[in-house]
Amino acid sequence: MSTQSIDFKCMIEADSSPIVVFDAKGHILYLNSAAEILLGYVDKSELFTLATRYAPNTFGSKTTPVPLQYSHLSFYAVNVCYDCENWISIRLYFKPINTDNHKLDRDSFISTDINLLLDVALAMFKSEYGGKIKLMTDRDMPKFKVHQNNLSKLFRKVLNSFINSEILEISVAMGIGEIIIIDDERFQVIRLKFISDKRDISSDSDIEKLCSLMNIVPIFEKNRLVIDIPFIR
Amino acid sequence: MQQFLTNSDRVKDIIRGLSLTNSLFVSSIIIGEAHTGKKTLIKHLFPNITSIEGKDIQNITDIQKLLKDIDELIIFDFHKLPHKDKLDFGNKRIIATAENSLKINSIDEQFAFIYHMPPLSQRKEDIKLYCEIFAKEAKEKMAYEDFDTNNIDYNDVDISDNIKSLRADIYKKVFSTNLNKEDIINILREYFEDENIIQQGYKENISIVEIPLIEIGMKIFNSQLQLSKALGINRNTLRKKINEYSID
Repeated sequence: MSTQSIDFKCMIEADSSPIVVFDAKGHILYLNSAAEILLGYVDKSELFTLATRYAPNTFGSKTTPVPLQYSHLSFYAVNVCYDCENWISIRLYFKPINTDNHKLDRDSFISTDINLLLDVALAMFKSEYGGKIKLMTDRDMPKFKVHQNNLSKLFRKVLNSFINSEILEISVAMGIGEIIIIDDERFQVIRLKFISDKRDISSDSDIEKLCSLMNIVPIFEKNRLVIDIPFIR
Repeated sequence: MQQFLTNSDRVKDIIRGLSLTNSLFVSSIIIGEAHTGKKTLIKHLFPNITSIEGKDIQNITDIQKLLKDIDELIIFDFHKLPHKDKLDFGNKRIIATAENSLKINSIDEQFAFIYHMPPLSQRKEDIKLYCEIFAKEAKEKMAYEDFDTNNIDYNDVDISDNIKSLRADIYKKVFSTNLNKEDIINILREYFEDENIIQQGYKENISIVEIPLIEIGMKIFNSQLQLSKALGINRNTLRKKINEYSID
């Protein structure tokens, strides 16, 4: 079978690494879904600058280790490719999150519907909170194994850090293309984002301690908190 | 099954939250003043879960042993447990109640969900509800028919000890509404059985009758002259008694 009939674009579209193709002037010719998400956190001109900086000297492809951080998205390398003067592509490689703080204690984990745990935490929080809450979640999210009591404590502390805000947006989704490594085992990520106009940072160390017990990765920002939970089946 | 009634949105939030944990292995605690209904609420929501009283436990190892065989446990008066900070819940469903004397930072590490049961002073919407319930209770228990809950001034009931004092106050009100002269004389007869009270003297003891008589009399007649005529006593005598008893 000839490779000419193979639609490589659908493979690139499904790739979890962000891939962007620019023209010679830095306009975007193509980007995959992962790149669309990335462009929510970084300007395209910065990606074009990276592409030109790390491009091979002649036509071809070159991978260079480059540590990059855009909000909670971490990358460890870029691959730049071009075979004429008309276009250049850049691909960024996600940095696997390594949590070697605690061994995975599967015996203490119970198969859990994360939406139910979050609903309970929100029910308690709403009785004290005066602001608006917006929740975006996938109610069909599959169950996964977690220490229910510790995760509930974490939710309580995270929510309480927003008690003085006027608005709180919460989203729950599978992280695209990102993994957490625990004991050399790779797990997909469930990402919870808490975005607000105000956040109390005094509990950040408690939140960090609780996260480390469950191999959860917290990302602290001024009015935002992201927690990446390993999706353990 | 014990019923739990409330009109309070805050208490309904607690009920909603606790009900959601029915299928979860998490630890929850309700903290609040005494006699706010914490125990009744838990018994209503979780009638089949094994429960223990904090004051009955000598050693927390007894609880750890218990938790080896069961997955869920209710601990009433958690604040009375010895060495409670050393208790490891593991992956068990624990529901506890405690009074406000329990320090929050000591339970922050142990419990996933911490609920605050408001006192009656912060849930006025429940005062009327409970007054009606207790009045009905009192009427049934004492076989009294004549008591109209519309006569209760809900701002003037005793909620100093929450539900406990409110119930006692309503019972007293129902009881006193149904007293006749003979009942009052019999009550006073019992009261005067104590020689120490007699020894206090005539003036001290007669004040038991005179103070309420003059107070209510002034409310009804609104004038010392009218009241003195109704009572058949000299106006100066009445004025003297009003000053003596510091009646407004």
